[in-house]
Amino acid sequence: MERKDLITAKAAAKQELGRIPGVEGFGIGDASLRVYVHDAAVERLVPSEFHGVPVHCVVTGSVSPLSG
Amino acid sequence: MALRVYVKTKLPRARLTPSERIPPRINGTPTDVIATGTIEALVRPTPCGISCGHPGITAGTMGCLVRRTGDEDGRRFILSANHVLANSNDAAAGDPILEPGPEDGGTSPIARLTDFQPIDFDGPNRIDAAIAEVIVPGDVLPEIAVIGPVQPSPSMPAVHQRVRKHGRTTLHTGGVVVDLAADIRVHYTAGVAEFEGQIGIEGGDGAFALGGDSGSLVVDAESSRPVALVFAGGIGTVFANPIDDVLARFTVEIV
Repeated sequence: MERKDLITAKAAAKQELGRIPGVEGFGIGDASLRVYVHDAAVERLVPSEFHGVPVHCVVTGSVSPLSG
Repeated sequence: MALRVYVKTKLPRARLTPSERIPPRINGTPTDVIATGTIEALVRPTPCGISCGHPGITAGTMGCLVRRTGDEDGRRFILSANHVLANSNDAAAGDPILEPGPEDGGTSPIARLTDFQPIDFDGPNRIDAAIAEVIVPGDVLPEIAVIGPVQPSPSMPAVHQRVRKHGRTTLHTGGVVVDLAADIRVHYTAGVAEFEGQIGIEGGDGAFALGGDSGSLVVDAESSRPVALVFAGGIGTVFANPIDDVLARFTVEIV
């Protein structure tokens, strides 16, 4: 899969899947989209494939700055 | 009032045996567990990769030493996160930077805040970074603890790339790049900020970075060429600014 296809898919996913409460972010991994979600309940709302691109869902909780 | 218990690294309760767990109270007094890393005598010069911070924060990590591109005047700057050196925008040029950071008992300034990229809570961000000029040139060594000297030329990040860092809390850890273009929401005390184009990293054996490691320089595991600057994390994934963006913003190069 071309990187430009992944970039296009990520932009579309941000528009579409970004509306799901608890979705914390999007990224590009190894020939796949990465969708960062708050918890497993949100993970169940994210499809395993988006516009033909495999989706890797990652539970992160809330992403915070890493000061002590 | 609380009984402070100093530990090298905080670990999830599930990874501790019952005898290793600090009870929430001892003889009725509440306990407060504080991660210190390895406690060493305060000596200067100090390497990078250790505790530092603005007086208004807890503690973060001194990432690496930089100089203005083309400058030969001997001025050296600490590179770290905005929320470490500039208290998440609540700071001014000239503010003291303590080493170690306040949470680790630091009272002695080692640098003064020079410049920071403001965190925008209403629009997209690329970096959470700042620089502070070292007060006494030579007080900060260019090498990173355990890692040693850093190659000045940045490494283009790649998925599956093996990386490492040395930070205030988790010390020397290895990880793998898993994301080259993460767009994430980061929850600061002052609000939520959107970051685009971030590097995602997962730890190889345990957490790659935890609270206190912000500002750590991520380098390629083999070549020690710089890759990114740690600034945020969630469960299992750490996010870091691409180092090219950081160096370009301040017109600096790694010493």
